[in-house]
Amino acid sequence: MSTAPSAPDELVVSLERALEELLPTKSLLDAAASDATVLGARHADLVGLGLLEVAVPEPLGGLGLDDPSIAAIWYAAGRRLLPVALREEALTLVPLLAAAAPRDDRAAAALAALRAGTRSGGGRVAPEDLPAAGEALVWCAPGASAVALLGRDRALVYDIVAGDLVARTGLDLGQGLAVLGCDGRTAGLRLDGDVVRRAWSRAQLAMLAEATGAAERALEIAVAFAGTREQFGRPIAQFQAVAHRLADMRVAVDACRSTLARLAALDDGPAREDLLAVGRYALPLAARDVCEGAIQVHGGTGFSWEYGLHLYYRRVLQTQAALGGAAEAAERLGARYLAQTRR
Amino acid sequence: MSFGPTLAFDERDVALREEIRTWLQSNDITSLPGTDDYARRVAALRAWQGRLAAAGFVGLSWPAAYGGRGLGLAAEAVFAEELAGSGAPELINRLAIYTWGPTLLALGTEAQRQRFLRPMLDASELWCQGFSEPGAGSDLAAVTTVARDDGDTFLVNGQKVWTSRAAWSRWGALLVRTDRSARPHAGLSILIVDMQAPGVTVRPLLQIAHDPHFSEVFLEDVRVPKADVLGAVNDGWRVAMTAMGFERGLFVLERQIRLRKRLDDLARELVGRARGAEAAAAVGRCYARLEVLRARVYATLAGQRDGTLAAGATSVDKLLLTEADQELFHTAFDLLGAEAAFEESSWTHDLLDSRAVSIYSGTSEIQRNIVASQLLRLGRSS
Repeated sequence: MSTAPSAPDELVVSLERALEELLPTKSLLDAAASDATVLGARHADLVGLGLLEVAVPEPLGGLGLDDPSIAAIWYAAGRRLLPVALREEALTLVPLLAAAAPRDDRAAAALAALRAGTRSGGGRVAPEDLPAAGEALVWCAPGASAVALLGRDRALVYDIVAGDLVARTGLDLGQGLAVLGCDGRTAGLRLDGDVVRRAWSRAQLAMLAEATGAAERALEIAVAFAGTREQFGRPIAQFQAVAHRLADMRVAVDACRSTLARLAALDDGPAREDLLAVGRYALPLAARDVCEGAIQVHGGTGFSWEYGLHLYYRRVLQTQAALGGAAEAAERLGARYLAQTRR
Repeated sequence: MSFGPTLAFDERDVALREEIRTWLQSNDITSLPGTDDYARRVAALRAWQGRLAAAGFVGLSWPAAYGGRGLGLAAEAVFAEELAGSGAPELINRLAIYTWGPTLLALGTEAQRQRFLRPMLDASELWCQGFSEPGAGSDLAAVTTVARDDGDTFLVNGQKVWTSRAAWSRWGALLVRTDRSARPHAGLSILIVDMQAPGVTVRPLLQIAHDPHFSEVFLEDVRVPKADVLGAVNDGWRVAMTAMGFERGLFVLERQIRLRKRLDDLARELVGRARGAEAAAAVGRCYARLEVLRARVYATLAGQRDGTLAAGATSVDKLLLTEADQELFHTAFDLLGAEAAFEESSWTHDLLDSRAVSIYSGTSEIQRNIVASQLLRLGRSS
């Protein structure tokens, strides 16, 4: 286990309560409808919760939290649909700047501006290695001045000026998705080694935690609905067909939670990376099943825009795609397993 | 944490793992008789468990006063993983070690603990469990085997069915009706029945793959001392549920490792065959299910250790085990195809056998009912 401090459970609970207040469903729906990130209005408030401090080491004045705490925080973030760009800022960009800051004044200044909320940024975690070049998809807060691309073995941080980022409409609307052309562009910061691998591993842990939290919340909403919605003169939860679907969703959520607990507790190393590869395949897929079940249990209500279940579904689908997609993840997992057996 | 606890292994567990691994490397079981000679096979398996017990590896979490080593559940997990991972046979008396021993420790009398626990460890006395009856499968509370109060003893009459290892067991934990006037769940008790007592008749039944693992058990005026009631009279439902809660953790962990070995077997059989991306993906899906299952068992064991496991939670483990088990043998059959089907193959044997996992100790439908009512609190459904 790492010696970094743990966030107490109450801190996570109060964080979730704050997020619930700052990000009401209506505001998320409005942001999605106009595909304009909710961060425009809420960025300062959310930064004020300390979210950019969690991965800043203590010697630099940050919280330097351990992995189980970061997983717990993004679990709560998933439950309340915290914008993706903020995760990229906090767990992709910030740790890289923090790693460079002690011997790089520009990185130190950029980090200080982010933490003060006078600048913003974003980035993208690659499922495995960083692609060679070409276009990169990133999630950014409005007015981003730096973005980070984080792969397993190397990471790049680019300075951004107006016009560098081209907004893109994706599945999870209002998250600040944009395209950065990397050909012919020089990264202001290049990193590799342990610091990159650690950041990559924990950013993925946070993505899996976020998907699990979103699925758990969708299940809670579905259970509450099934207990009150009446058809044929009784709550639909009392029909075994509905109850068994909800039970399967609970099994899926519990499977995700247990995997997350083990992932968070494992030290960085081969065992963590093996289980991360499992998680990239299994957790978003299970979370997706849960969201689909939640929509189904709600019937027509679940299919409506304003009820908002699609927000959880979109988040989970996007996480799945960002982690490489189920088909590719399963194939890589199996190919590696078969190759290990041959040896 | 919001996503729950997991099992962690400390330095003592790591040292224990090394001790067990070293022992297993130099203490292989030689020539286990096949399934066609079950009597000799059972004798060999009992001797094997006896050697493991003599080495001090059985009942690691039991108190030293009853022959255990007083360690934590993590130590039990280490043993289960190492035993299964070495490919050595499982504990033949695992129902006693993982289920009824812990139940006796939790709910038994001191005299019962003194009498029954030690012979469980070295398999000198095997245990079976009689819950199901011809008319009481999923509707377990409908059992009609009756124990009539007759002074110092109960007089038991009725029939049990699908009772695993009944033919070789010395003791059977039987769910019987002790009060016919009470509501179905309220009038039941668990009796520890001497399977060699007069009036007990065991008739082996062949299973789907032609193995004689389970039996029907006929009980005619069988006398059971009242001292052999486990828990309180008429509190048998709670005792049975306690036992089933114990059953899941370590039992499922051992099963998980054995399934991993079978996935290794499959991967080896696939070497050199033309196989595409789809075959790799199918293997990847099986591997993922098994690793998620392991993580789930670690969470369950941590919950058992901390006493925080919710009622009904182990139904999740059972459902995950079922999916992992059945998908593995389906995958093997699909990838090996004709080779598996048209010659005598362990893969077809295991595929047929894998039908059991969604039926035994509560069908998948019953597990979903438990998840719905106890974990989600949805109320009664129909």
